[in-house]
Amino acid sequence: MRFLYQASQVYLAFARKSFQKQMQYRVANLAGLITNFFFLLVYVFVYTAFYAVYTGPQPLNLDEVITYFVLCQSFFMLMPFWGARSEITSAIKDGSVALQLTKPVDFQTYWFTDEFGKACYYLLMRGLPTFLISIFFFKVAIPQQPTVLIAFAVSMVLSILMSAAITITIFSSAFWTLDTTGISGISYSIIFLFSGMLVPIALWPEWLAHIARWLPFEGLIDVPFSIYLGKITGINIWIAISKQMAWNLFFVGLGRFLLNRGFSRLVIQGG
Amino acid sequence: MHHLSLYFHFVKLRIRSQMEYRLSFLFELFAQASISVMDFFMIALLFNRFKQLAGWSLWEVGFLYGIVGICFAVAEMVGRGFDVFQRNVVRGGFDTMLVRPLGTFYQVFAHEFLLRRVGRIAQAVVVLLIANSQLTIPWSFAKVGYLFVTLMSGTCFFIGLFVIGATSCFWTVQSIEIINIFTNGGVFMGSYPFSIYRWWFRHFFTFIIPLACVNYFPSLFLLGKVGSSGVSPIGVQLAPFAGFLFLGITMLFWRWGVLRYQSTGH
Amino acid sequence: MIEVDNLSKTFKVYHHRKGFFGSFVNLFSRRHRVIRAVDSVSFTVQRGEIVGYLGPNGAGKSTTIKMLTGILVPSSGSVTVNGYVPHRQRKENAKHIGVVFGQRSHLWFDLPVQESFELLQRIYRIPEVQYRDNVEMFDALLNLGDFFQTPVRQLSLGQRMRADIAAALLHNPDVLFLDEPTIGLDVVAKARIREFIQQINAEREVTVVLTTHDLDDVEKLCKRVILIDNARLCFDGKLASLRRLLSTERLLTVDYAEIYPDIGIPKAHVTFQEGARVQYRFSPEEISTADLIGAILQKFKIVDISVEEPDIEELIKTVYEDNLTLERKLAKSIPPDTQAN
Repeated sequence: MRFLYQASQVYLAFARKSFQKQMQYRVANLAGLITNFFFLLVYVFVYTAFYAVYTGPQPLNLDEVITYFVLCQSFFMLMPFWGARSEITSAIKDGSVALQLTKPVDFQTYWFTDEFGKACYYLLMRGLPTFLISIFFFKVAIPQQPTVLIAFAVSMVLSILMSAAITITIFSSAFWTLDTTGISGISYSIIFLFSGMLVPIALWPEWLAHIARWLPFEGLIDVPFSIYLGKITGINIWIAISKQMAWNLFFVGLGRFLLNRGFSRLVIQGG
Repeated sequence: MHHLSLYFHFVKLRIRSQMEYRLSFLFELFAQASISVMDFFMIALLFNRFKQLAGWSLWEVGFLYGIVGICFAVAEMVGRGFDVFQRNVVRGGFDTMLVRPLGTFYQVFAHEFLLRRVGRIAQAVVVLLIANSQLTIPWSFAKVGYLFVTLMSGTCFFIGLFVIGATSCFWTVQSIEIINIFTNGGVFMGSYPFSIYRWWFRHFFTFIIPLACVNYFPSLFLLGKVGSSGVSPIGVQLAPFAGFLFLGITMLFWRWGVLRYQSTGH
Repeated sequence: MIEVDNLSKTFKVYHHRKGFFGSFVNLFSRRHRVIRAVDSVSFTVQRGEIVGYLGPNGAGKSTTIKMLTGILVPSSGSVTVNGYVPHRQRKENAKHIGVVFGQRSHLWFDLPVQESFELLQRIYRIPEVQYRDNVEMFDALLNLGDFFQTPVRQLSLGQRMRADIAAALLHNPDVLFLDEPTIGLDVVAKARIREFIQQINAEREVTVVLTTHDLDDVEKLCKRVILIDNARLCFDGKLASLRRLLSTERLLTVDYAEIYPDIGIPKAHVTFQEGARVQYRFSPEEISTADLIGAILQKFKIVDISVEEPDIEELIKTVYEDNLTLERKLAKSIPPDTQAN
C-alpha cells in the first residue's frame, strides 16, 4: 500500500508539472478560446441554415445539434487532433527519449500523467469558459437526470483517456519513421471523420454510420455527447461504456507494445 | 528582372531541400490531401441529408469551397515565409535580412516555399472541376479572366493575413495566433454561402476582412446568382480587387512595423 | 567613413500582468518602462582603421553595431556609414558593408557553402571575375576548400566562422562589422581569423569595427579602442593609453610566514588567497606602496613580497565585473586623447 501511495505521489507531481507548463501560454489560450468560439458560431450558422429549409423530422433537432457542437468545441483541445504531443516525437528523434529509461518510472504512465495534467488544464481554461459563454449565447440543453450526468461523466473520462492512449500510440511510431507528420496527418483525418467531430453520426447515411459504429473513434465524441443528449439510454448506456472500455484497453495495450518494441530497438541500436 | 530570377532561384533551392526527404514528403502530401478530402466529404454528407443550403446546391457550395481552398493553399505555399516568420524573428533571421541589399518584404516572401501544399491545391482544383462539370456555367473569355483574377486576389488576401500575423511579431510573440481565426476560420466559413451568416458577421467579413469579396461575391457572379442575392452587380464585379487592395494595405503595415523592429538580445 | 553623432537608442520593456484576467488586459494596454541601450554616443572612424568596440555584456555594443548596419532605427542622433544613413538607405548601405555576427550565421543553413556563396553572388550582383578572384583569395587564406561542399549546418564553429567572414567580404565592402568573431573558437582558429582580418585590412583598406570579449583580439588587431559602459561612451583612444589609464591599479603579492585568520588591510582588496599566499589589489592614489607594505609588516610576518602591474585582460575583467570602477576612474582623470578625433 505504502509503495502504491508513493508511486501515485510521483505521478501526481508529473501531472501537476504538466498543468503548470500549460499555464505559461495564457495569451495563446485566450486566442484559442476565441478561435473555439468562432468555429462554434460558424457551425451554428451553418446548421441553422440547413434546418431552416428542411422541415421533415430528423434524428436530432436543431437545439440538440447546437448543444452537440457546444460540447465539441468545449472538449476540442482534449481530443487527439492537434498533435500537442510533438515533444514526444522530438524526444524520440533526437534520442533524448533514452533518458526516460534512466528514470525510475514507467514511461507510458509518465506520458499518461502528462496528458492528464494537460487535460485538466484544457478542461478548466478552455472547456469550461467555452461552455459557460455558450450557455449565454445559445440554447444549450442541460440534462436534468443525475444518472445521465453521471453516465456522461464516466463516458467523457473514458474518451479523454482513450484520446491520450491514441496520441501516445501515434507518436510512438516515431521510433520507426522519423517523420510523424505524415502518419499523424492521416490518422487525424480518419479520427476527425469517424469521431463525429464535423457531423454528428446520427445525421450520417446508414451505411457510413454502420462503419463508424465498428470503429473506436465514435467513443471520443459521438458516444459521450449522445449520452448527454439522452439519445443513448437504459441498457445501451452500459453497452456503449463497455465498448469504450474495451477500446481503451486495446489502445493502452497497443501503445505499450509499440513503446516496448521501440525502446528495445533503441537499446539494441544504441540510440 | 533581377528580383524575379533571384526569386525562382530561391524557390528552386527550397524545393530541392524539401525533396531530400522524399518519402516523408510524399506522405505529407497525401496526408494534406486526405484531410481536405474529409472536409469536403462532410459537406457532402450534410447535403445528402438536407438537400440544399439557403438556395445553394452541393456543387454550388463545392464551387465556393474550391475557390477558397485553392487561394488558401497557394497562399500557404508561396506566403509561407510570413506564416513562419515568428520562428525566424526569434532566431535572429530577420537581422540577416536587414543587412542584405534587398527589400525585407521581398526577402521574407522569397525565404520559404512549401511545395507539399500542392496536395491541398490539387484537391481543391478537383472539387472545383467536378463542381463545374455538375453545374452549367456559361463560360466566356471574360468570365475565365474574372475567375483567374479572383483566384489571384484571394491568394493575395490570405497572404495579406499572413503579413498581418508576421508584422505583429515586431511587438509580441504570443498573440499572433488570433490570425488563425481568419486564415483557418476563413477557409471554413468561406466554404459556405455568406447569406447564412448574420448581418454583423457578414459586414465584418466584407468591409474589414474582405473574405466575401474574393470568394462569395465572385461566385455569385460566376454562378449567375447575383439577381437573387440582392447584392449590387457592379459591386460584385469590382469585388475581387479588394484582395489586392488588402494585400497593399498590409504591406504598408509591414513597412511601418519594420521601422519598429527591436531585434533580439541587444 | 563612419560618423556617429550623439547616437541614442531606447527600448520599451513591457511589464506583463499576471493571471488569466491580467493576460487579457495585456492585449489592450501594457505598462512599460524605457531602457537606454545606447546613450549619446559619438565617434568617427577613418578609412582603413581597425577599431575595437569594447564593453561589458549589455553595455550596448551590439545595439550600436545594429544601428550602424541598418538593423535598428536610432531613437535620436545621427549615423552615416560611407555617406549613407543606414536605416534610411538600408539597401544602399548594405551593398557597401559586410556583417558577421559570431553568435549566428548569415548563411543558409541547409545549403553547402559554395551554393550559399553563389546565392550571395546573385543577391549582391557580384561580377563573375570579382567573385572568382575573391573565392580564390579567401580559399588561399582560410582553406575554404576543405568544406566548400559541406552544408553549413554540418560545419564546425571555426569553419562556419571562416565561411561567414569570407561571405561577408565577397562583394568587396568598404566597412566590415564583426560582432564577437572569435567567440567559442580555439586558439588556432582565433589566430587564423585574426591574421585574415589583418591581411584584408592591409591589402584592401577595409575599415573594420570589431566587438569582442577577447582582449587578445584587441591587442593583436586594434590600435584604437572605444570603450562603452552602461550605454555611454567612456573611452576613445589608443590601446596604449587605455592601458596606462587602467594600470593605476597595482597588485601586491605576499607570502606570509604562517596562515593568519584575518588578513584584511584597510584600502586594499584581497583578490585571492591560497594557503599563506595572498594577493591584494590597491590603487596608489589611495595608499602608497610603501605605506601598504608598512601596514602589512606591522601586523604580520612575511616571507616574500612582490608588486606588479596587472595585465590588461585582468583589468578589463575587473571593469566588467564592477561597472562602476571604470566610470569612477575616468571621471577622475581624463587623458588628452579621450576627445573624439
